[in-house]
Amino acid sequence: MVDDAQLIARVVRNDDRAAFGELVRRHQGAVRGFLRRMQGSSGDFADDLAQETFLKAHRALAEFRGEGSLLAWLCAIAANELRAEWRRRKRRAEFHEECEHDERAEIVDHPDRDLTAALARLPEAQRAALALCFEHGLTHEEAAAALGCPVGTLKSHVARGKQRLRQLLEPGDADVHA
Amino acid sequence: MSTPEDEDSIERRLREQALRPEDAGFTQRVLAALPLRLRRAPPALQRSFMMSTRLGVMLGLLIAAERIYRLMGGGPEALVIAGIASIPVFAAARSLCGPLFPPIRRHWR
Repeated sequence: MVDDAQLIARVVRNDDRAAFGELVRRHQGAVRGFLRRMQGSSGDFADDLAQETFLKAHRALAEFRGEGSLLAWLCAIAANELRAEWRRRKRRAEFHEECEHDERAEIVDHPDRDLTAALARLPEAQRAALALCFEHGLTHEEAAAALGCPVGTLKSHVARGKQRLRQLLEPGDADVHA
Repeated sequence: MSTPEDEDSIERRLREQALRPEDAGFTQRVLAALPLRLRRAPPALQRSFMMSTRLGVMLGLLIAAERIYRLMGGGPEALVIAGIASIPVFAAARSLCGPLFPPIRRHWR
């Protein structure tokens, strides 16, 4: 099987669209999954951000130095896209002086999605840390680089996130199990 | 009464219930959104073209400065005025075309 580095070289040298398609096929699950987890229930919107992530990655692929994994680099772009989108939404909400529709609230009411509901209630940094480290298998170092924080901070987010998740998944937590 | 989930089981659940949406339609959608681009020239040819362009811009600016200097009579004050006037022109050319002189490499790899 051709590895990511070889595919990247083909894209950079020859603008090989098929090679880039293979990279998208390999990593779309993690990037789209991470964005959906962070964004809430809106799959379409998360996919729009994922598309923008891959387009930015295509433009900047020549700058990828291969120091970490390609997935970690893609997750860093996705995280930046997400932050930029949240900033835009905040500005729009302030401009219109209306409450932002919280899509995450919809998930909490589904009894068959305990984990999803509990994750949706975590602070964003903890949710992102858990999603990258456990759902998508990034190392602490890679996840820290993707989220732009020190490794110690990332580990703290992971530990606190797991602790909070354990509390939320206890049977007595009526909010999640309602 | 069930016991609270321990951390290992939380990690396991996160791995098992990971969101990983994958479909060929998304790949096609990304590929369709890629910008059309002509085949790139070899890097050496790109560098050569870039250097020629910069040299051309430099020569053009120098000739224009020399013409202005002559039009103003060619005295020392004309030299000062042409020199001062060329600063924003060079700055604008630099911002449009990039540095007119190749940057000095300070960090050798």
